[in-house]
Formats: sequence, structure tokens, C-alpha cells
Amino acid sequence: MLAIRHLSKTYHADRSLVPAVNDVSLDVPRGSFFTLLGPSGCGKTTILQCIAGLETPDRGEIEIDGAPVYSSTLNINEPPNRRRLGMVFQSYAVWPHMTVFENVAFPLRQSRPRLSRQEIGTRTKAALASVRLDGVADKLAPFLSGGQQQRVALARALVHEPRLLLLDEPLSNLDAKLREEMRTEIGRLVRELGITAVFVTHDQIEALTMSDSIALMDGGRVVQQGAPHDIYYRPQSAFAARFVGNGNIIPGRVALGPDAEGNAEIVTPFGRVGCRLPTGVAHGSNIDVIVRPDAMRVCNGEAPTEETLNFFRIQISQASFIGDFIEGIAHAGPATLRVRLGPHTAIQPPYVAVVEVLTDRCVVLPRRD
Amino acid sequence: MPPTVSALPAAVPTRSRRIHLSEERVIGAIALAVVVFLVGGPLLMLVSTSLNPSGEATLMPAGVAATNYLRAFSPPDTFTLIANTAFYTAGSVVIALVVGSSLAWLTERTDFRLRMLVRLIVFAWLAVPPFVSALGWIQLLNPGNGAINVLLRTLFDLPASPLNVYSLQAMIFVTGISMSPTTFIMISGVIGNMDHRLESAAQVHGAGRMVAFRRVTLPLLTPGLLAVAIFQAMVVVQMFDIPFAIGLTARVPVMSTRIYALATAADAKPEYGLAAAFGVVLLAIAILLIGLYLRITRVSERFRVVTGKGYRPVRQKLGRARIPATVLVLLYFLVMLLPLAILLWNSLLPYYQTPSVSALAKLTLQNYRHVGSEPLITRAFWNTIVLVLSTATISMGLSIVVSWISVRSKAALGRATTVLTFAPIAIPQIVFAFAILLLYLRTPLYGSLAVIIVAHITIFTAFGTRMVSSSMLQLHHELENAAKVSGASWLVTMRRVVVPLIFPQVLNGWLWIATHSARDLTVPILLMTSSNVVLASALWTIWEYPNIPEASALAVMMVVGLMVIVVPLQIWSVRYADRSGSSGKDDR
Repeated sequence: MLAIRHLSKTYHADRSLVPAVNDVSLDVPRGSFFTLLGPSGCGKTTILQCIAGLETPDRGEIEIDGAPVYSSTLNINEPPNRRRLGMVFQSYAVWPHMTVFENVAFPLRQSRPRLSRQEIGTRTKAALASVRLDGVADKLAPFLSGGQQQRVALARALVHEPRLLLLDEPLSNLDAKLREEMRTEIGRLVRELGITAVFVTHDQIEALTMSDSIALMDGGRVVQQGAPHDIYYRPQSAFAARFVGNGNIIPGRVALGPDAEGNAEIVTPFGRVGCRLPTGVAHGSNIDVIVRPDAMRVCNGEAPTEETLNFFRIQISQASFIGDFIEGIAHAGPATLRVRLGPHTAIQPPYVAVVEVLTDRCVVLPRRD
Repeated sequence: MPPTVSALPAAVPTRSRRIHLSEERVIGAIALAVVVFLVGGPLLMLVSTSLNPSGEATLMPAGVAATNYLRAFSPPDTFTLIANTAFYTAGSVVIALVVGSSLAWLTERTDFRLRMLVRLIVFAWLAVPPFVSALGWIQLLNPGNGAINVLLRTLFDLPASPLNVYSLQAMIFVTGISMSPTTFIMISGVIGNMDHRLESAAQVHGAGRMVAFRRVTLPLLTPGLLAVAIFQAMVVVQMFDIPFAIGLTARVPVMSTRIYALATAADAKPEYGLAAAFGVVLLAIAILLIGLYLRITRVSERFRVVTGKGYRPVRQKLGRARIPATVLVLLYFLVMLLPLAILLWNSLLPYYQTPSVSALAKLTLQNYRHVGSEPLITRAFWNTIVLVLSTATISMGLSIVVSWISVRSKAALGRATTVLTFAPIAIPQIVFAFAILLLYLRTPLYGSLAVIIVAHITIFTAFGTRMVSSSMLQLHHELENAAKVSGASWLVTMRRVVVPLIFPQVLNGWLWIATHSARDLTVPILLMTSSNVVLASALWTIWEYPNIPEASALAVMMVVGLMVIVVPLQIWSVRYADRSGSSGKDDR
């Protein structure tokens, strides 16, 4: 449906060149919900704007529905108004001088050949109904709440049955509760309509819950692409592990093994970890062990001796009660770890505990240096 | 899982990039070309004429020589000219600053009751063309039969008139007073932007009211006041109509009237080369002043602390000072109203006479009837309508396109556009009018109404661009992008989204330009022929004729006509500012 090849875009800032997008290639199959995830400045919004035609890339090809809309080799650059897309903006961009109806009807009024007044009316009303805004059609946009404005923006982006729906951090301006509601709502609409959506966010929860496929970006490049489950459980880099799931990255060295099944013993700053290695990691090589905060279990009473593999003594110096869980900062030897504890764990920092590292939840990455 | 790459050809950097002829590029390029031609053409003409040794108006000087400059600044005449200009500028600015800042302090920082009246009069003053107030003062203070002179002579039994309007002092007084309203508005802004908590902090820490004023308030206000002073100095240096109405008879030439005299010499060959040399010098002074102004405002921005709206300082109680303050303010209004009152008086009399009870019996409307039926005035009236409507409309159209380019394009193009359109603000109107005269002298456009329209568009687009671009800067760019992605072309986006959203400022700018185009005398008088007379130049012609009663009637009609546009506009824009300020609060 959407194919991007070797897309590059460099910005000029204060006489230096900042590469915003660096040779990115992506394929988005028809009907999928595709997410560009990454920290701010990673180039995800630039890609979205290049797809929309609001930015002109330096190089590359963008193809929608098999036809190029941008190509630096073929010298094609279709203006945004000819690309037949729908877009929801971070600021909603609902036009304050128009009524809700006029806002949503706008894309229909631009379509060529012209639509009849009656058809515009019917389709606008249907779009408003699909986002449950039938009651406020005649209100001026500024009199709506944030959530309602968001729905207007969504209806406006969908009313003309665009080829692609582009979503530029649409939820970041909403409060927590509304965000959750809109997350479900957008997901429902997109699936019901069977439309292909490209979603940009820096929020891992949004990305993991809504997407069929995620492209994780850093520094203008796609560092990993896959289903949410893959990205979360099989990070391919320290960055991916840290950005999705707040993994602790612990440097180590393969001290024993690996044996025929790949099991090995790794020396870390705070002790020995028994773990399964990915293929290709040899004895004696330097590696990173990714330990997720939820991969540590506090052993109460039944604590085995400290020398046992995968059991460590940690000191929790800070604990924040989040509600569903307690997040703690722990020290084990010279290392600082982020740990997640059950909400009913009675701890009062400083608190010393013995934890078991659940190694089936850990990932070992070869160190690239 | 690495990203899969299908068999599309890998991109190679392209050598040539085709330029797409989208409508925004075409319209933008046309608008830019128009602006470059409008601003650049006359300036080029001015400089090349000033360098032409033969003194002829030309784009290709036969040689380059400083002859004109040397002649222009040969003593002893030059010394008088520079001294006059310097005194005139300094004197007028001091008067405007003293009056403006006292009024601003009274209305912004004290519990003075006549606040609304001050604002109303100050805003209505925009409807009074400066040269009209000068004509009023001439009727009040001329040494022969000026109303005030006659009054003083009879009251004190004086042998001669004590006051003379035809003097440098009178010129300074009239200019200073006529500039006090804009000065008041600017200084009110400076005082309003100050963070008053800084002052309170000084008082809490033990400073008395006077010490707090001297050590905290005054230093904080200084950059702002200095900026206002420099801006107004630039306005006075450029001022043409008051020195023209008063200074020519008084034989007190300043730079601006000297250019006019050289360019339009009635009995001799016009000295275009000399006039151009003066023009270039005046332009240099104005650019120097605006550079200084920009520098100081940049400094004063640093002093500016963002304050929450609604934080109002405690107003000082005037107490016993209320009575002298009221008297002074009323006296100021009297001074403002007097020239208009005498014009009204004389417009109702068959021939010029000083106000008296006996003359009341002769009051008549015949001057107004005459003015209405005179072919010259009828022509001038229709010309003015055409001038005002086309200037305001075309200028605003250009302003919108040019502002869009300067706000939305990131590259050097945007900056260049900004500089180019703002340039006419620094160019004295008389210099510009003269440069336009030089450029169109040998074209059929010369002598037509079109040349005045072209001149006004060039001058006023700068102001329009300033208003439009500041409001466009506040528009979130996503509002525009949303329209583009929805399938709207650039023109539709501008028409349906951008312009409606900034419509209040566009309307405001349109009316501002319309008013200033109608009241401007500088351009029409320098470019005047029998066919392109407008109301301002017609008024001057009748005054010179001299037919003082009819000139007065026409002046009164102009002021009333302008007031009908200006006063509702000013009230509306103040209300609009208040409303948009308060609605921002409701949102939270």
C-alpha cells in the first residue's frame, strides 16, 4: 500500500546539516496499522510529513497504491492536496472559524469531480456519527472540549475515504483518561473501515497496544521493525531494549559455555547470571544482558544462599508507588537497576532484599564496540 | 527482522530538479516581482540621479560624480538647513514625549477619572490630517488677524501680535502637539508591558515611592522611552506637510521641504540632481534612525518580563493633585480642538473673520454648498474614492501574499522579502514620492491618478505587511497543513482558512491604509497635475487660492468623513483586543 525507499532528508540549522531522516525504507501492507515509534528528534514526524507532501525529502521514493507520489529519480513530487490522504495533527488543527459540520465537510468540498450538496451532507453526517459527534454539528470548533476537537479532526481525516490515514501524535495533548478512550476509539474506527494507517508516537504503550507493526526509529534510521510482541520481547539493540520496556542494560562477559543448547554463565558487575545466548556469541565475548524491571522477583524468606546462580542481594534506595506496581531504584554491587515490585510488597527504603533474575525474560545482545 | 526492500530502483542524487509551477509559486513570484519593482525602481532612480553630474533625472547617469552632493552641502545655506532640521526634530519630539508620557502615566498608573475621554480623543485624532491642524493653527496664530492674536491684542491692548505661526517655534509646537496622540499610545504600551511587581519589590525592601521610581521604574522604562523617542524622531525628520504648510511662508526650510522646493521649482528648471542628493541624505538619516530603533527595541525586549494578564498595578491615588491634573488634561483637549474649532467657524462664514458674537448672525452653509458643486472638488472626491479603495485593496492583497512568503518560507527568501517590504517604513515619504516622480516622469503614467496609487501602494504595503505578518505568525502552521492534506489548493487554503482566521487584522489594516491614503498630502502634492487632484491636494489648492472659508469647509468635511471610519474602527479594535484577551482566560 505504502512503500518508502531510501528516503533521506537533511535540515539546515545554523550552518550545520542535521540529518533528520537517513536512508529509510519501509513497507506498509494494505489495511495495517503501522506505527513509527521513537524519541523526539528521531525523524518519525519528518517521515510522516514527507508522506503527506508537507515536507520535500532530499532523496528517495514514496509510493502509494503502486503509484509514486515522490521520486527523486523520476522528478515527481505531488503536492499534498493531490495525494488523497487524511491526517490528524498533534494540535488537532480544527479550524476555529468554521462549525464542526463545515470542518468535516471541507475535504468533500475539495474533491473533484464536485460532489452534490446532498452527498456532502450525507457523508459528513455519517462521518460525524461514526465519531459520535452528531449532536454538535452546528457548534463552532472553539466551543468543543479537547476530546471532541480530536474527534472532529478524526472525522475530517476520514470523511473523504483517503488512501492513507496519517496520525501525528494525535493523543499527546489529551489527559490520561481521554487518551485511553481515544486510543480504543481510533483503533476501532481504523479496523472497521479497513483503512491503512500510519501512526507517529513517542509513547511505547500507544505503539504496543494499537499497532500491527512498529518501526522503531533512532537518529533518523529505523533500528528495528516488527510486531509489537517482537519489539518488546526480542529487542535487537540496547536502544530498543531501553526505549521499549525500560530494560536495564548490564554489561557482562561470557565466562562459561555456551553449551550445546546455548546456555552459558555470564559475569556481571554484581554476580553470575546463567542465561541462554543467541547464536553466534562465543565464549569470552563481551555482551549486554537486558534485564527488564519485571524480570526480577523478590524472594521473601525462602532466599537461597547468595552464591546460587541468578540470585542477588540488592538494596532498594528509592521506591515510588505507581498504583498497579511499585517502581524501585536498586543497587547491586556497582550497578544501578530499575526494578518493578508487586503493589503489595511492604518495603521501606533503604531495604535489602534477595531477588531472583528470571532469565527466561532476559535477552543477551552481543556488544557492538 | 531487517526492513525488507523491494525492487524499486535505489535513489541517486538528482542533478536537476524540475521546478513545479504550483499556483503558490506563481502568485508568490508575481507578488515578489511587483514588490521588487515598486521599491527597487524608484530607489535606483533616486541614487543614479543624485550621482548624475548633469542634474537630469536618469537611470543611466552619464558619469558618476559627487557634484550634486557638493552643491547641496555648500555653506552657508546648508548649516541653516541642518540646524533647522535638528531643532525642529528635537523640539517636536520633546513636546510629544512630555505630553504623551504625562497622559500615559495618568491613564495607566493613577486613578484619573477621565481615562476613557483621553483614549477617545487620542484615537479620534487619527482622523485629523496633520496639515489640516496646521491650517487651523494658521487661522489661530497668524500675525495679521489670527484669532488668538486678535484676542490677546484686544485683551491686553497690545500694539502688535504677540504670537507668530510663521516661525520655527510654532512649527515645533504644532508638530509636537499633533504627534502627542501616537506618542501616548506607544508609551502606554511601554508602561503597560512593565512588570509592576519589580516596583513593588523595591518598596517592600524599604525604598520610598520616589526612590522606587528613580531606582527601579525609570531605569526599566528608559529603553522603551528611548525607542519611542527615536521612532518619533524618524517620523519628524520625514514629516513634510506641517513644514510645508507653515515653514514655506516662515522661510524656515527643513530637509523635506527643500526637496520639494527643488523638485517643483515653479519659475525655474527643477533641480532634480540636487533634490536627489538631499533625498539620499535624508534616506541615510532615516535608515540610521531605524537601525538605532531596532537595536534599542532588541535591548528592551530583554527587559521585558512576561507577566500574567490581569495583573494590574495598584493605581496611585491622585488626591489633591486631581484638580490640577484635570485642568491640564482639559487644557490639552482645548489645544487639540482649537484648530478644528476655528476651521469649523470659518467654514460657516461667507468670508474670513475672527470669532465674535456679531458674526453669529452671518452663519451660513453656503461654503458647503459651493464645495459640493465645484467641479474640481467633485473630481477630487471621485479620485480620492478610487485612490483609497484601490490602494487599500491592492496593498492588503500584496501584504497577505508577501507576509505568507516571509512567514512560511524558511530560507533566505523569507528574510529578503521581509527586509524588502519593510524598507519603505524607513524611507521618508517625500523622498519616495520624489523618486517615483523621477521614475515615471517620462512615462504616460506621470500626471495620472495611477501614479499616486502606485506610490501609495509602495508606501503602505509596508504597514499592511507588518500587521498581517504579525498575526500570521500566531497561526499554527498545522491549520494550513490540515487544509492542504484535505485536498485544498494553495488559493483555497488562503481563501477558506488563512484569510478568514486573520480577518480582523486584515480589515484593520485595510481601514488603516484607507485612512492614511485619504489624509496624505505628501504624495498627491508632489505628483499633482490638473487631472489627478485628490481631496488633500484640492484642499491645499483652494487654501492657496486663497479661499479660506471653502478650504475650511472642505477640511471639516474631510475630518468628519475620516472620523466616521476611524472612531468605530478604534473602538472595535480595542474591544476586540479586550475580548480575545479575556476569552483566552475562559478556556482554562
